Amino acid sequence: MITIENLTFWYSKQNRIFEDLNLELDAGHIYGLLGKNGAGKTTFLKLICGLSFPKSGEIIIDGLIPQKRKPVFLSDIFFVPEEISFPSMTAVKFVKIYGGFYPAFDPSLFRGFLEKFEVDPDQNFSGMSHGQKKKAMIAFALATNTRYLFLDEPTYGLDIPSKAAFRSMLSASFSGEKTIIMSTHMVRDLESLIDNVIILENHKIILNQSLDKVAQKFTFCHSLLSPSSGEIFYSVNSEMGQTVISLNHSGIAGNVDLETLFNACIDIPEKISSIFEN
Amino acid sequence: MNNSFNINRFWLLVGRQWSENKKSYLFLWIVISLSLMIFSVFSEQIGLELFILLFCFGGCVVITTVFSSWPDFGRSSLYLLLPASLTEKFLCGLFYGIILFIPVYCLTYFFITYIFTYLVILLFPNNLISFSEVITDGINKFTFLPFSFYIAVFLAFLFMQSLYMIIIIRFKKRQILIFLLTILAILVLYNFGMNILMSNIVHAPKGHIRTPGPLLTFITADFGYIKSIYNPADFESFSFIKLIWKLNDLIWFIVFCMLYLTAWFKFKEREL
Repeated sequence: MITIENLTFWYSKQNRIFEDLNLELDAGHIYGLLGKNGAGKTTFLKLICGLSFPKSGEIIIDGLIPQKRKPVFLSDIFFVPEEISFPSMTAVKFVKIYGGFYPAFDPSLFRGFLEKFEVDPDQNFSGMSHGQKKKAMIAFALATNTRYLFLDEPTYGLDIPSKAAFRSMLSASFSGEKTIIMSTHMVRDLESLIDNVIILENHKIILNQSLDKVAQKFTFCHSLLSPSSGEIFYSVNSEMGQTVISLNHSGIAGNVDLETLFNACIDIPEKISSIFEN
Repeated sequence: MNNSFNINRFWLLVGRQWSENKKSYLFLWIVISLSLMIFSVFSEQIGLELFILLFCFGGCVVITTVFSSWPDFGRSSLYLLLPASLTEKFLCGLFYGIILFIPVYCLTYFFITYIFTYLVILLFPNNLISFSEVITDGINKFTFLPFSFYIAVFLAFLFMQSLYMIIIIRFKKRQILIFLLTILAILVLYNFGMNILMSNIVHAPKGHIRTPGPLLTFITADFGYIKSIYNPADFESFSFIKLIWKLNDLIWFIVFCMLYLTAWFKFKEREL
Protein backbone atom coordinates (compact mmCIF):
# COMPACT_ATOMS: atom_id res chain seq x y z
CA MET A 1 0.00 0.00 0.00
CA ILE A 2 1.26 3.46 -0.88
CA THR A 3 0.47 6.23 1.59
CA ILE A 4 1.25 9.84 0.85
CA GLU A 5 0.69 12.39 3.62
CA ASN A 6 0.90 16.16 3.26
CA LEU A 7 3.44 15.89 0.47
CA THR A 8 4.94 19.17 -0.66
CA PHE A 9 7.53 19.32 -3.39
CA TRP A 10 9.11 21.98 -5.53
CA TYR A 11 12.12 22.45 -7.78
CA SER A 12 12.04 26.19 -7.12
CA LYS A 13 10.03 27.71 -4.27
CA GLN A 14 8.14 30.00 -6.65
CA ASN A 15 6.95 27.05 -8.69
CA ARG A 16 5.49 24.39 -6.42
CA ILE A 17 4.71 21.04 -7.97
CA PHE A 18 2.74 19.54 -5.08
CA GLU A 19 1.29 21.15 -2.02
CA ASP A 20 -0.14 19.14 0.89
CA LEU A 21 -0.89 16.17 -1.27
CA ASN A 22 -2.64 13.24 0.40
CA LEU A 23 -3.24 9.91 -1.28
CA GLU A 24 -3.67 6.24 -0.54
CA LEU A 25 -3.16 3.61 -3.22
CA ASP A 26 -4.13 0.02 -2.57
CA ALA A 27 -2.56 -3.07 -4.03
CA GLY A 28 -4.28 -4.97 -6.83
CA HIS A 29 -4.93 -1.99 -9.08
CA ILE A 30 -3.54 -0.45 -12.22
CA TYR A 31 -3.52 3.29 -11.79
CA GLY A 32 -3.48 5.70 -14.68
CA LEU A 33 -1.76 8.95 -13.82
CA LEU A 34 -2.99 11.80 -15.99
CA GLY A 35 -2.14 15.47 -16.09
CA LYS A 36 -1.15 18.29 -18.38
CA ASN A 37 2.49 18.91 -19.27
CA GLY A 38 4.32 20.11 -16.17
CA ALA A 39 1.59 18.91 -13.81
CA GLY A 40 4.11 16.68 -12.06
CA LYS A 41 3.42 13.16 -13.33
CA THR A 42 7.07 12.21 -13.73
CA THR A 43 7.95 14.00 -10.48
CA PHE A 44 5.23 12.04 -8.71
CA LEU A 45 6.72 8.77 -9.96
CA LYS A 46 10.23 9.91 -9.02
CA LEU A 47 9.04 10.75 -5.51
CA ILE A 48 7.36 7.42 -4.88
CA CYS A 49 10.32 5.41 -6.11
CA GLY A 50 12.83 7.48 -4.12
CA LEU A 51 14.64 9.32 -6.89
CA SER A 52 13.47 12.67 -5.53
CA PHE A 53 12.83 13.58 -1.90
CA PRO A 54 9.78 15.41 -0.53
CA LYS A 55 10.36 18.92 0.83
CA SER A 56 7.82 18.14 3.53
CA GLY A 57 5.35 15.39 4.27
CA GLU A 58 6.06 11.71 3.76
CA ILE A 59 5.64 8.80 1.43
CA ILE A 60 5.39 5.31 2.86
CA ILE A 61 5.26 2.16 0.79
CA ASP A 62 4.53 -0.95 2.82
CA GLY A 63 6.07 0.70 5.88
CA LEU A 64 9.24 1.72 4.02
CA ILE A 65 10.37 5.21 3.11
CA PRO A 66 11.45 5.35 -0.56
CA GLN A 67 14.09 8.05 -0.09
CA LYS A 68 16.13 5.72 2.14
CA ARG A 69 16.61 3.45 -0.91
CA LYS A 70 16.98 0.31 1.16
CA PRO A 71 17.60 -2.90 -0.82
CA VAL A 72 14.45 -4.48 0.65
CA PHE A 73 12.44 -1.63 -0.88
CA LEU A 74 14.37 -1.39 -4.15
CA SER A 75 14.06 -5.12 -4.81
CA ASP A 76 10.28 -4.73 -4.78
CA ILE A 77 9.92 -1.78 -7.15
CA PHE A 78 10.81 -1.11 -10.76
CA PHE A 79 10.69 2.22 -12.54
CA VAL A 80 10.59 2.50 -16.32
CA PRO A 81 11.46 6.08 -17.28
CA GLU A 82 10.20 7.81 -20.40
CA GLU A 83 13.70 8.11 -21.86
CA ILE A 84 15.44 4.76 -21.84
CA SER A 85 19.19 4.46 -21.70
CA PHE A 86 21.08 1.20 -21.56
CA PRO A 87 24.76 0.42 -21.20
CA SER A 88 26.38 -0.78 -24.41
CA MET A 89 25.68 -4.54 -24.24
CA THR A 90 23.20 -7.13 -25.44
CA ALA A 91 19.93 -7.92 -23.68
CA VAL A 92 21.30 -11.36 -22.74
CA LYS A 93 24.32 -9.79 -21.02
CA PHE A 94 22.16 -7.15 -19.38
CA VAL A 95 19.95 -9.80 -17.83
CA LYS A 96 22.96 -11.70 -16.52
CA ILE A 97 24.23 -8.58 -14.77
CA TYR A 98 21.04 -6.89 -13.62
CA GLY A 99 18.71 -9.86 -13.14
CA GLY A 100 20.71 -11.08 -10.15
CA PHE A 101 19.73 -8.01 -8.14
CA TYR A 102 16.02 -8.89 -8.28
CA PRO A 103 15.14 -11.96 -6.20
CA ALA A 104 12.00 -12.82 -8.20
CA PHE A 105 13.51 -12.20 -11.62
CA ASP A 106 12.48 -14.79 -14.23
CA PRO A 107 14.87 -15.02 -17.24
CA SER A 108 12.53 -17.26 -19.23
CA LEU A 109 9.74 -14.73 -18.79
CA PHE A 110 12.10 -12.02 -20.06
CA ARG A 111 12.99 -14.06 -23.13
CA GLY A 112 9.29 -14.70 -23.78
CA PHE A 113 8.45 -11.00 -23.53
CA LEU A 114 11.30 -10.08 -25.88
CA GLU A 115 10.01 -12.63 -28.34
CA LYS A 116 6.51 -11.15 -28.22
CA PHE A 117 7.99 -7.70 -28.74
CA GLU A 118 10.15 -9.03 -31.59
CA VAL A 119 13.35 -7.76 -30.01
CA ASP A 120 16.53 -9.71 -30.71
CA PRO A 121 18.11 -10.60 -27.34
CA ASP A 122 21.56 -10.85 -28.96
CA GLN A 123 21.48 -7.37 -30.48
CA ASN A 124 23.50 -4.66 -28.73
CA PHE A 125 21.37 -1.92 -27.15
CA SER A 126 23.54 0.73 -28.80
CA GLY A 127 22.21 -0.40 -32.19
CA MET A 128 18.56 -0.40 -31.11
CA SER A 129 15.96 2.28 -31.80
CA HIS A 130 14.25 4.13 -28.94
CA GLY A 131 11.16 1.95 -29.32
CA GLN A 132 13.17 -1.28 -29.21
CA LYS A 133 15.03 -0.13 -26.11
CA LYS A 134 11.74 0.74 -24.48
CA LYS A 135 10.36 -2.70 -25.28
CA ALA A 136 13.47 -4.36 -23.82
CA MET A 137 13.14 -2.27 -20.66
CA ILE A 138 9.43 -3.07 -20.31
CA ALA A 139 10.20 -6.76 -20.80
CA PHE A 140 12.87 -6.57 -18.11
CA ALA A 141 10.57 -4.62 -15.77
CA LEU A 142 7.79 -7.22 -16.09
CA ALA A 143 10.25 -10.10 -15.67
CA THR A 144 11.54 -8.70 -12.36
CA ASN A 145 8.14 -9.59 -10.83
CA THR A 146 8.36 -6.67 -8.43
CA ARG A 147 5.18 -5.84 -6.53
CA TYR A 148 5.35 -2.18 -7.52
CA LEU A 149 5.81 -1.15 -11.10
CA PHE A 150 5.99 2.51 -12.10
CA LEU A 151 5.90 3.32 -15.79
CA ASP A 152 6.39 6.78 -17.24
CA GLU A 153 4.73 7.09 -20.65
CA PRO A 154 5.13 3.36 -21.36
CA THR A 155 3.55 3.42 -24.82
CA TYR A 156 5.42 6.48 -26.04
CA GLY A 157 7.64 5.35 -28.93
CA LEU A 158 6.02 1.92 -29.33
CA ASP A 159 4.59 0.87 -32.68
CA ILE A 160 0.93 -0.25 -32.94
CA PRO A 161 1.51 -4.04 -32.64
CA SER A 162 3.84 -3.45 -29.70
CA LYS A 163 1.21 -1.40 -27.89
CA ALA A 164 -1.20 -4.33 -28.17
CA ALA A 165 1.54 -6.74 -27.06
CA PHE A 166 2.34 -4.48 -24.11
CA ARG A 167 -1.29 -4.45 -23.00
CA SER A 168 -1.59 -8.23 -23.17
CA MET A 169 1.72 -8.78 -21.35
CA LEU A 170 0.89 -6.31 -18.61
CA SER A 171 -2.56 -7.76 -17.96
CA ALA A 172 -1.11 -11.31 -18.05
CA SER A 173 1.58 -10.55 -15.51
CA PHE A 174 -0.68 -8.52 -13.24
CA SER A 175 -1.91 -10.09 -10.04
CA GLY A 176 -3.77 -9.08 -6.89
CA GLU A 177 -0.70 -8.26 -4.82
CA LYS A 178 0.80 -5.95 -7.45
CA THR A 179 0.39 -2.21 -7.90
CA ILE A 180 1.06 -0.57 -11.24
CA ILE A 181 1.13 3.17 -11.79
CA MET A 182 1.40 4.45 -15.34
CA SER A 183 1.64 8.05 -16.33
CA THR A 184 0.46 8.79 -19.82
CA HIS A 185 -0.72 11.35 -22.31
CA MET A 186 -1.92 8.66 -24.65
CA VAL A 187 -5.00 7.59 -22.72
CA ARG A 188 -6.49 5.66 -25.61
CA ASP A 189 -3.51 3.25 -25.51
CA LEU A 190 -4.12 2.32 -21.92
CA GLU A 191 -7.86 2.81 -21.45
CA SER A 192 -8.49 -0.92 -21.40
CA LEU A 193 -5.81 -1.56 -18.76
CA ILE A 194 -6.43 1.14 -16.18
CA ASP A 195 -8.91 0.45 -13.41
CA ASN A 196 -8.23 3.62 -11.39
CA VAL A 197 -7.57 7.12 -12.58
CA ILE A 198 -5.54 9.83 -10.84
CA ILE A 199 -5.61 13.33 -12.34
CA LEU A 200 -3.06 15.93 -11.30
CA GLU A 201 -3.68 19.64 -11.72
CA ASN A 202 -2.58 22.79 -9.89
CA HIS A 203 -0.35 21.04 -7.33
CA LYS A 204 -3.20 18.75 -6.28
CA ILE A 205 -4.92 15.53 -7.15
CA ILE A 206 -8.25 16.60 -8.52
CA LEU A 207 -9.56 13.11 -9.14
CA ASN A 208 -8.65 9.73 -7.69
CA GLN A 209 -11.42 7.28 -8.46
CA SER A 210 -11.93 3.82 -9.81
CA LEU A 211 -13.28 3.71 -13.33
CA ASP A 212 -16.19 1.61 -12.05
CA LYS A 213 -17.23 4.45 -9.82
CA VAL A 214 -16.79 6.98 -12.62
CA ALA A 215 -18.97 4.82 -14.86
CA GLN A 216 -21.63 4.59 -12.15
CA LYS A 217 -21.75 8.38 -11.86
CA PHE A 218 -21.43 9.41 -15.50
CA THR A 219 -22.34 8.28 -18.96
CA PHE A 220 -20.22 9.22 -21.93
CA CYS A 221 -21.56 9.53 -25.43
CA HIS A 222 -20.63 10.95 -28.79
CA SER A 223 -23.35 12.85 -30.57
CA LEU A 224 -23.60 14.52 -33.93
CA LEU A 225 -26.54 16.58 -32.71
CA SER A 226 -26.47 18.77 -29.61
CA PRO A 227 -28.31 16.97 -26.85
CA SER A 228 -30.86 18.88 -24.78
CA SER A 229 -28.97 21.10 -22.35
CA GLY A 230 -30.74 19.69 -19.30
CA GLU A 231 -28.98 16.34 -19.69
CA ILE A 232 -25.49 17.75 -20.28
CA PHE A 233 -23.10 17.74 -17.38
CA TYR A 234 -20.15 18.57 -19.57
CA SER A 235 -19.61 18.66 -23.29
CA VAL A 236 -16.68 19.19 -25.56
CA ASN A 237 -16.48 19.50 -29.32
CA SER A 238 -14.77 16.66 -31.05
CA GLU A 239 -14.16 15.54 -34.62
CA MET A 240 -17.29 13.36 -34.27
CA GLY A 241 -19.55 16.23 -33.26
CA GLN A 242 -19.81 16.51 -29.51
CA THR A 243 -18.64 14.32 -26.68
CA VAL A 244 -21.00 14.61 -23.79
CA ILE A 245 -20.81 13.62 -20.16
CA SER A 246 -24.14 13.33 -18.42
CA LEU A 247 -25.13 12.05 -15.02
CA ASN A 248 -25.88 8.36 -14.92
CA HIS A 249 -29.36 7.89 -13.50
CA SER A 250 -29.79 4.33 -14.73
CA GLY A 251 -27.17 2.86 -12.41
CA ILE A 252 -25.82 0.72 -15.26
CA ALA A 253 -22.11 1.26 -15.72
CA GLY A 254 -20.98 1.92 -19.27
CA ASN A 255 -17.62 2.73 -20.79
CA VAL A 256 -15.54 5.64 -19.58
CA ASP A 257 -14.02 8.00 -22.12
CA LEU A 258 -10.82 8.92 -20.27
CA GLU A 259 -9.95 11.79 -22.58
CA THR A 260 -13.30 13.49 -22.04
CA LEU A 261 -13.17 12.78 -18.32
CA PHE A 262 -9.73 14.36 -18.17
CA ASN A 263 -10.92 17.46 -20.05
CA ALA A 264 -13.90 17.77 -17.74
CA CYS A 265 -11.67 17.49 -14.65
CA ILE A 266 -9.42 20.25 -15.98
CA ASP A 267 -12.32 22.55 -16.97
CA ILE A 268 -14.77 21.97 -14.11
CA PRO A 269 -12.81 20.32 -11.28
CA GLU A 270 -15.16 21.49 -8.49
CA LYS A 271 -18.26 20.19 -10.22
CA ILE A 272 -16.66 16.80 -10.81
CA SER A 273 -15.44 16.56 -7.19
CA SER A 274 -18.86 17.50 -5.85
CA ILE A 275 -20.44 14.59 -7.70
CA PHE A 276 -18.10 12.09 -6.04
CA GLU A 277 -18.40 13.76 -2.63
CA ASN A 278 -22.17 13.38 -2.83
CA MET B 1 17.21 -9.09 3.82
CA ASN B 2 20.40 -7.37 4.96
CA ASN B 3 19.93 -3.70 4.16
CA SER B 4 23.46 -2.51 4.99
CA PHE B 5 25.99 -4.82 3.39
CA ASN B 6 25.68 -8.08 1.55
CA ILE B 7 28.77 -9.56 -0.05
CA ASN B 8 26.82 -11.18 -2.92
CA ARG B 9 25.24 -7.88 -3.89
CA PHE B 10 28.64 -6.21 -3.60
CA TRP B 11 30.21 -8.69 -6.04
CA LEU B 12 27.24 -8.25 -8.37
CA LEU B 13 27.94 -4.51 -8.33
CA VAL B 14 31.65 -5.10 -8.96
CA GLY B 15 30.76 -7.37 -11.90
CA ARG B 16 28.29 -4.84 -13.26
CA GLN B 17 30.87 -2.05 -12.99
CA TRP B 18 33.45 -4.10 -14.87
CA SER B 19 31.04 -5.19 -17.61
CA GLU B 20 29.88 -1.66 -18.30
CA ASN B 21 33.24 0.10 -18.07
CA LYS B 22 35.93 -2.34 -19.12
CA LYS B 23 36.53 -0.42 -22.35
CA SER B 24 36.96 2.84 -20.40
CA TYR B 25 39.40 1.16 -18.01
CA LEU B 26 41.39 -0.29 -20.89
CA PHE B 27 41.48 3.12 -22.58
CA LEU B 28 42.65 4.77 -19.33
CA TRP B 29 45.35 2.14 -18.90
CA ILE B 30 46.52 2.74 -22.49
CA VAL B 31 46.60 6.53 -21.97
CA ILE B 32 48.62 6.18 -18.75
CA SER B 33 50.97 3.60 -20.28
CA LEU B 34 51.54 5.66 -23.42
CA SER B 35 52.23 8.80 -21.39
CA LEU B 36 54.78 6.93 -19.29
CA MET B 37 56.32 5.32 -22.40
CA ILE B 38 56.69 8.64 -24.19
CA PHE B 39 58.32 10.23 -21.17
CA SER B 40 60.57 7.24 -20.55
CA VAL B 41 61.78 7.28 -24.16
CA PHE B 42 62.27 11.01 -24.56
CA SER B 43 63.30 11.83 -21.02
CA GLU B 44 66.20 10.32 -19.10
CA GLN B 45 64.01 9.55 -16.15
CA ILE B 46 60.30 9.71 -15.52
CA GLY B 47 59.85 12.45 -12.97
CA LEU B 48 58.05 11.90 -9.72
CA GLU B 49 55.82 14.79 -10.68
CA LEU B 50 54.48 12.78 -13.63
CA PHE B 51 54.02 9.75 -11.38
CA ILE B 52 51.92 11.80 -8.95
CA LEU B 53 50.02 13.63 -11.70
CA LEU B 54 48.99 10.46 -13.54
CA PHE B 55 48.25 8.74 -10.25
CA CYS B 56 45.76 11.42 -9.18
CA PHE B 57 44.36 11.80 -12.72
CA GLY B 58 43.75 8.05 -13.06
CA GLY B 59 42.15 7.82 -9.63
CA CYS B 60 39.72 10.58 -10.53
CA VAL B 61 38.87 9.05 -13.92
CA VAL B 62 38.08 5.67 -12.34
CA ILE B 63 35.76 7.38 -9.87
CA THR B 64 34.07 9.19 -12.77
CA THR B 65 33.04 5.87 -14.29
CA VAL B 66 31.19 4.99 -11.09
CA PHE B 67 29.40 8.17 -10.08
CA SER B 68 28.98 10.58 -12.95
CA SER B 69 26.07 9.51 -15.15
CA TRP B 70 23.65 12.00 -13.58
CA PRO B 71 22.81 13.95 -16.77
CA ASP B 72 21.63 10.64 -18.31
CA PHE B 73 18.38 10.15 -16.40
CA GLY B 74 17.76 6.65 -17.75
CA ARG B 75 21.18 5.30 -16.72
CA SER B 76 21.34 7.07 -13.38
CA SER B 77 17.81 6.05 -12.34
CA LEU B 78 18.65 2.45 -13.22
CA TYR B 79 21.78 2.70 -11.07
CA LEU B 80 20.24 4.50 -8.09
CA LEU B 81 17.27 2.12 -8.01
CA LEU B 82 19.39 -0.99 -8.31
CA PRO B 83 18.57 -3.16 -5.29
CA ALA B 84 21.82 -2.67 -3.39
CA SER B 85 22.53 -0.45 -0.41
CA LEU B 86 24.19 2.94 -0.77
CA THR B 87 27.13 1.60 1.23
CA GLU B 88 27.60 -1.27 -1.24
CA LYS B 89 27.44 1.11 -4.22
CA PHE B 90 29.86 3.52 -2.58
CA LEU B 91 32.29 0.78 -1.55
CA CYS B 92 32.17 -0.57 -5.09
CA GLY B 93 33.43 2.85 -6.23
CA LEU B 94 36.24 2.76 -3.66
CA PHE B 95 37.06 -0.83 -4.65
CA TYR B 96 37.76 0.30 -8.21
CA GLY B 97 39.15 3.74 -7.31
CA ILE B 98 41.56 2.66 -4.57
CA ILE B 99 41.93 -1.08 -4.07
CA LEU B 100 42.23 -2.02 -7.73
CA PHE B 101 43.59 1.18 -9.20
CA ILE B 102 46.61 1.69 -6.91
CA PRO B 103 48.30 -1.72 -7.45
CA VAL B 104 47.51 -1.70 -11.19
CA TYR B 105 48.93 1.81 -11.55
CA CYS B 106 52.08 1.04 -9.54
CA LEU B 107 52.73 -2.16 -11.48
CA THR B 108 52.19 -0.31 -14.78
CA TYR B 109 54.56 2.45 -13.66
CA PHE B 110 57.22 -0.05 -12.64
CA PHE B 111 56.79 -2.07 -15.82
CA ILE B 112 56.97 0.93 -18.14
CA THR B 113 59.74 2.74 -16.29
CA TYR B 114 62.08 -0.19 -15.99
CA ILE B 115 61.10 -3.17 -18.11
CA PHE B 116 59.89 -1.15 -21.10
CA THR B 117 62.96 1.08 -20.87
CA TYR B 118 65.16 -2.04 -20.85
CA LEU B 119 63.39 -3.37 -23.94
CA VAL B 120 64.07 -0.06 -25.69
CA ILE B 121 67.73 -0.23 -24.64
CA LEU B 122 67.93 -3.71 -26.18
CA LEU B 123 67.34 -2.12 -29.57
CA PHE B 124 70.78 -0.57 -29.33
CA PRO B 125 73.46 -3.22 -30.04
CA ASN B 126 76.16 -1.73 -27.80
CA ASN B 127 74.21 -1.69 -24.55
CA LEU B 128 76.01 -3.14 -21.59
CA ILE B 129 73.24 -3.17 -19.06
CA SER B 130 71.78 -6.49 -17.96
CA PHE B 131 68.11 -7.04 -17.20
CA SER B 132 68.83 -7.81 -13.53
CA GLU B 133 70.71 -4.52 -13.23
CA VAL B 134 67.71 -2.62 -14.56
CA ILE B 135 65.33 -4.36 -12.15
CA THR B 136 67.71 -3.92 -9.20
CA ASP B 137 68.13 -0.27 -10.11
CA GLY B 138 64.35 0.14 -10.23
CA ILE B 139 63.81 -1.53 -6.87
CA ASN B 140 66.63 0.53 -5.38
CA LYS B 141 65.02 3.72 -6.62
CA PHE B 142 61.73 2.72 -5.03
CA THR B 143 63.36 1.80 -1.72
CA PHE B 144 65.65 4.86 -1.77
CA LEU B 145 62.68 7.16 -1.35
CA PRO B 146 61.64 7.50 2.29
CA PHE B 147 58.37 5.99 3.45
CA SER B 148 57.11 9.50 4.23
CA PHE B 149 57.18 10.20 0.48
CA TYR B 150 54.76 7.38 -0.25
CA ILE B 151 52.55 8.48 2.60
CA ALA B 152 52.52 11.99 1.19
CA VAL B 153 51.69 10.78 -2.33
CA PHE B 154 48.94 8.55 -0.96
CA LEU B 155 47.51 11.46 1.03
CA ALA B 156 47.61 13.73 -2.02
CA PHE B 157 45.80 11.01 -3.99
CA LEU B 158 43.14 10.61 -1.30
CA PHE B 159 42.65 14.36 -1.17
CA MET B 160 42.21 14.75 -4.92
CA GLN B 161 39.99 11.70 -5.30
CA SER B 162 37.70 12.40 -2.34
CA LEU B 163 37.26 16.03 -3.36
CA TYR B 164 36.58 15.02 -6.95
CA MET B 165 34.12 12.40 -5.74
CA ILE B 166 32.16 15.01 -3.76
CA ILE B 167 32.03 17.29 -6.80
CA ILE B 168 30.93 14.68 -9.31
CA ILE B 169 28.25 13.36 -6.97
CA ARG B 170 27.00 16.83 -6.06
CA PHE B 171 27.04 18.47 -9.49
CA LYS B 172 25.45 17.34 -12.73
CA LYS B 173 27.43 19.52 -15.12
CA ARG B 174 30.81 21.27 -15.39
CA GLN B 175 32.26 18.93 -12.77
CA ILE B 176 35.87 19.19 -13.99
CA LEU B 177 35.81 22.99 -14.07
CA ILE B 178 34.33 23.13 -10.56
CA PHE B 179 36.96 20.66 -9.37
CA LEU B 180 39.85 22.66 -10.83
CA LEU B 181 38.51 25.92 -9.40
CA THR B 182 38.04 24.29 -6.00
CA ILE B 183 41.61 22.93 -6.03
CA LEU B 184 42.90 26.36 -7.01
CA ALA B 185 40.91 28.05 -4.26
CA ILE B 186 42.14 25.54 -1.67
CA LEU B 187 45.77 25.97 -2.76
CA VAL B 188 45.53 29.75 -2.63
CA LEU B 189 43.89 29.70 0.80
CA TYR B 190 46.33 27.10 2.08
CA ASN B 191 49.32 29.00 0.77
CA PHE B 192 47.99 32.24 2.23
CA GLY B 193 47.32 30.62 5.60
CA MET B 194 50.71 28.92 5.72
CA ASN B 195 52.42 32.17 4.74
CA ILE B 196 50.92 33.82 7.77
CA LEU B 197 51.75 30.81 9.97
CA MET B 198 55.34 30.54 8.76
CA SER B 199 56.07 34.23 9.04
CA ASN B 200 54.57 34.51 12.52
CA ILE B 201 55.21 31.23 14.33
CA VAL B 202 57.91 29.18 12.65
CA HIS B 203 61.33 30.67 12.28
CA ALA B 204 63.55 28.88 9.82
CA PRO B 205 67.23 28.93 10.71
CA LYS B 206 69.41 31.35 8.83
CA GLY B 207 70.70 30.19 5.48
CA HIS B 208 67.77 27.85 4.78
CA ILE B 209 65.08 28.36 2.18
CA ARG B 210 62.14 26.95 4.09
CA THR B 211 60.25 30.20 4.01
CA PRO B 212 57.22 30.10 1.69
CA GLY B 213 58.25 30.17 -1.89
CA PRO B 214 56.21 29.81 -5.06
CA LEU B 215 52.80 28.31 -4.54
CA LEU B 216 53.28 24.74 -5.81
CA THR B 217 56.80 24.29 -4.47
CA PHE B 218 55.60 25.27 -1.08
CA ILE B 219 52.60 22.97 -1.18
CA THR B 220 54.63 19.95 -2.30
CA ALA B 221 57.21 20.81 0.30
CA ASP B 222 54.60 20.62 2.98
CA PHE B 223 52.75 17.60 1.56
CA GLY B 224 55.66 15.58 0.28
CA TYR B 225 58.74 16.81 2.13
CA ILE B 226 60.41 17.21 -1.25
CA LYS B 227 63.10 19.43 0.12
CA SER B 228 63.75 17.11 3.01
CA ILE B 229 64.18 14.22 0.56
CA TYR B 230 66.79 15.97 -1.48
CA ASN B 231 68.50 17.55 1.49
CA PRO B 232 67.86 15.64 4.70
CA ALA B 233 69.77 18.24 6.69
CA ASP B 234 67.14 20.76 5.83
CA PHE B 235 64.52 18.53 7.41
CA GLU B 236 66.60 18.21 10.58
CA SER B 237 67.11 21.94 10.90
CA PHE B 238 63.40 22.53 10.82
CA SER B 239 61.89 23.27 14.19
CA PHE B 240 59.07 20.68 13.93
CA ILE B 241 59.84 17.36 15.52
CA LYS B 242 59.19 14.09 13.65
CA LEU B 243 56.28 13.24 15.89
CA ILE B 244 54.50 16.36 14.75
CA TRP B 245 55.10 15.41 11.12
CA LYS B 246 53.52 12.04 11.81
CA LEU B 247 50.65 13.73 13.60
CA ASN B 248 50.37 15.99 10.59
CA ASP B 249 49.98 12.92 8.33
CA LEU B 250 47.43 11.44 10.68
CA ILE B 251 45.42 14.66 10.74
CA TRP B 252 45.44 14.84 6.93
CA PHE B 253 44.44 11.19 6.74
CA ILE B 254 41.48 11.82 9.07
CA VAL B 255 40.53 14.95 7.08
CA PHE B 256 40.54 12.99 3.81
CA CYS B 257 38.53 10.16 5.34
CA MET B 258 36.02 12.82 6.36
CA LEU B 259 35.94 13.98 2.74
CA TYR B 260 35.08 10.44 1.63
CA LEU B 261 32.40 10.38 4.31
CA THR B 262 31.06 13.66 2.95
CA ALA B 263 30.98 12.10 -0.52
CA TRP B 264 28.99 9.19 0.94
CA PHE B 265 26.46 11.63 2.45
CA LYS B 266 26.24 13.50 -0.83
CA PHE B 267 25.58 10.18 -2.56
CA LYS B 268 22.88 9.37 0.00
CA GLU B 269 21.22 12.72 -0.70
CA ARG B 270 21.60 12.44 -4.48
CA GLU B 271 18.30 13.18 -6.23
CA LEU B 272 17.46 13.06 -9.89
